[in-house]
Amino acid sequence: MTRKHRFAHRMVWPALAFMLALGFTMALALRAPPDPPHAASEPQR
Amino acid sequence: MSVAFKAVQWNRDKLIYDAVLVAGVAIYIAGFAAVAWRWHPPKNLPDVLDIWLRAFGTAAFLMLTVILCIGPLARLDCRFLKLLYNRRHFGVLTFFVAATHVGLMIEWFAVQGLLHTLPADFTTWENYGKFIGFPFKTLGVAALAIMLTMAATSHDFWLGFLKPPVWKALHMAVYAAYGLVVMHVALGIMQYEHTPLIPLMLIGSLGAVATLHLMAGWREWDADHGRAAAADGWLLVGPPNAIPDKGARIVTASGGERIAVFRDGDQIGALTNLCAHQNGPLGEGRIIDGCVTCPWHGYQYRLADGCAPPPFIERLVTYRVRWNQGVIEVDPHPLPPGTPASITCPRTGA
Repeated sequence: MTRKHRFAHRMVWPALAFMLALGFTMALALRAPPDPPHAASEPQR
Repeated sequence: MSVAFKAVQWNRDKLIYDAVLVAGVAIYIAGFAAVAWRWHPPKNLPDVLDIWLRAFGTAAFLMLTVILCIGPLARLDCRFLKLLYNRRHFGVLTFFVAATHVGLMIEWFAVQGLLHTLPADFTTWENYGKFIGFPFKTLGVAALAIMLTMAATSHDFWLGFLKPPVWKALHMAVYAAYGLVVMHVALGIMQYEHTPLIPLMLIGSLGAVATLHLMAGWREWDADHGRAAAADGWLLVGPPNAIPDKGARIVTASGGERIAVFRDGDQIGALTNLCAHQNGPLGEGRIIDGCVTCPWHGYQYRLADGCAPPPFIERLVTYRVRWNQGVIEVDPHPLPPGTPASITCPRTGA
């Protein structure tokens, strides 16, 4: 890689990594809770 | 390189590489489908399509992760250069796997008579203002468009047409594609299914890519700081024996450009560290058959003048070298490409 490409690489990927980590964390934290157990999981009579 | 046009220059290494690659992907997809079939036996055709949809989707994601890891791995350990050699084939196959995932998704809608609802997923504009609920399929399609562009321009014709700096910059869009795919998964399937496997897959992928890039970047950091020049501006390389025979020592000029100083017996010459093909790290290559050989794809240049041997026409920037009181020094000012500049060192003692 040229010096310019190394510089661009070092600028781009940490910013992308930060945005991705933030986006993933938010997506994980904000997702809806799982549905309540269905009747199938209730004790059988 | 070739003097005649060939769509793909197959050789034994490439055939083995591609065979292993295709077999690995096929085994993964078949294995995924077999396990999913056993855990959640499909009840109808959409269920069957859903299994294949996920198999191809996860395969494309993991392949993209591996592609991004190959670069830093090759910087950290030269044994991984073999993976780098044919990375473009890996990328093209990843595009086809991802395109199959999209095709299966369309089929999944079609068999249920829901194809007419699909455009609404992309054109419900108010959803673009949401975070949870963002049209995640748009992210996947955008990533696929980037992969298509990269696959379509992966051939050496486009490399020669666009020139290495532009081509390389274009292909850095793989990072954007990766980011789009991560968010496609995080805002898509991860929102609807609460299995821990999906977050674990994303965390593992992000962690591997980030860690390897950090390690490679850390290693490169020192190399990027230029050496102090002597009063007349020449850079110290070291005694001739400090340069491995048939190999190179890389020095960095104060501006950050790297110079590869090679030794072939008593002959010493300095070339730019950038291969004319894809700007590969020439100084990490070896002298084979009397020519400096790039470790990435085997492009070759004469040490004496940086010219590719006839009939090839590539020429590299060269640098003046001198033997000064037992040590080799290099002038960091580049000479025009193809300028003879190597010297014969009187006493290498190698």
